[in-house]
Amino acid sequence: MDIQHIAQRFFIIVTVLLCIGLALLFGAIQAGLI
Amino acid sequence: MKKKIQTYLWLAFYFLMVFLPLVLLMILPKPDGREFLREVSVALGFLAMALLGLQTIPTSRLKFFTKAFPMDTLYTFHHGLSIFTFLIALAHPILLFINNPETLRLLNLFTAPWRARAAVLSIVAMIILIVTSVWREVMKLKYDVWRWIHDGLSFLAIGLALYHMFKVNHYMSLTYQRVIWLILTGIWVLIILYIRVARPIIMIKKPYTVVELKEERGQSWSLYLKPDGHEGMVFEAGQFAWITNESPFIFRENPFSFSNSAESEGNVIGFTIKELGDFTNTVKNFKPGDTVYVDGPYGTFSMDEHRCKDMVFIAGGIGSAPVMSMLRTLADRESKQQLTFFYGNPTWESVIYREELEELENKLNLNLVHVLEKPPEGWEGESGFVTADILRRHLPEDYKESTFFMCGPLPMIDAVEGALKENDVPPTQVFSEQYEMA
Repeated sequence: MDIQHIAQRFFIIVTVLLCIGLALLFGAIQAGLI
Repeated sequence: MKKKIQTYLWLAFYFLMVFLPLVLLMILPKPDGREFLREVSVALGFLAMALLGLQTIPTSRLKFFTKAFPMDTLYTFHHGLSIFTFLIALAHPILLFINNPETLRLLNLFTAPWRARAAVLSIVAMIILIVTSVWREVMKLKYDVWRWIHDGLSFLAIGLALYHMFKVNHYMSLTYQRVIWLILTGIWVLIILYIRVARPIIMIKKPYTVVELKEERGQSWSLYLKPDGHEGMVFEAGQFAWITNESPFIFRENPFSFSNSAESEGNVIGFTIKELGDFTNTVKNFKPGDTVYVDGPYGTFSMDEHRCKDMVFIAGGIGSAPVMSMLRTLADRESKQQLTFFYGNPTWESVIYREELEELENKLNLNLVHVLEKPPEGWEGESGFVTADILRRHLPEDYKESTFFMCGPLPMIDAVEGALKENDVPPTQVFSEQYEMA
């Protein structure tokens, strides 16, 4: 896999992790868990 | 450096478009919170909405965007992220149902309020969208028919989801949330208007005329076009363009790599097209004087884009078209660089540009390595597929300092990437262009 395709795959993974992380964080803040 | 800054700015813009509404909701005043699962569901809903609208960008062919990212990676990015978007859009109601099973009644389209009906229909549109996209070939859907279905369902899914979001009106009752989402919607609408209206008009205003059609080996045709009443385009060898001989408003254009020299006189542009079905089978019927519309150039698969000392090209079949453009350009520039071209084909008779490549071997410092799947009797060259061993036998001594360009179908690219890895070629020096983008 060349560097551009590695970057693209990495970018998708970052987006997925950020989405899940932020959704959980938002839920925790709003539910008063943190 | 300029390109790097452009890339970083795009990435910042991307993250802003996806995460800003939710991040602002976290830090600015908002209504009181509710149950954990319900709030996670709401957050996923917001993120799915942002990602859904954002899918209009990767395939929009906006010039300043395609200059920063390779087109095939944008399409792969679009495919991967679309499926993730669907999954979190689906998780949004599922979490609500788990949190409060009473809400399952919202699935009844006869009794549910319009905001819930819109949400259900939006999910249904997304399901049909994904099924018809992933299994298009299995369903034998023609490309242009699929594209209309794809665009129609996309607009429907986005429109219904927006209606749902505004109508639920919990966090959306906040003025700053309404403003952000209206701005985001405005950006998506502008991009759709550019794709659907502005670009076809630009193509019609700058038509091209067929000047020559030449039959090549391997059921391929080289099509040469000249600008009609305008200056034409400046392309870099290795780039590609979308072409059609019908109205650009029908959206039946297909992408092809330039195959002629970037230094060609008279702004003539050339493409080599292999007969593979649909549009490609009609190219042989083109006649000099016919009008063709061209949208391009696109792509970062270019030797002018990357710092190149010596170059190694690896292509299979019609994947040789952009490589041929590079070799013709290098010949016109009287290049002295060391060049190696691994060229895979099924048979000796199907080797496109065979005779011209022999001539180029004399003009350039080029080592041409034919690799044939079914070699003729008495063949002394390489046979089979391009493997690590074949590469090792023919690569120049200082190949780790060379720049590698690969072009062909995905299975070939994957196989050759493995072979390059075995030979310790640094991935930062490898550039590839995959076919089958849509």
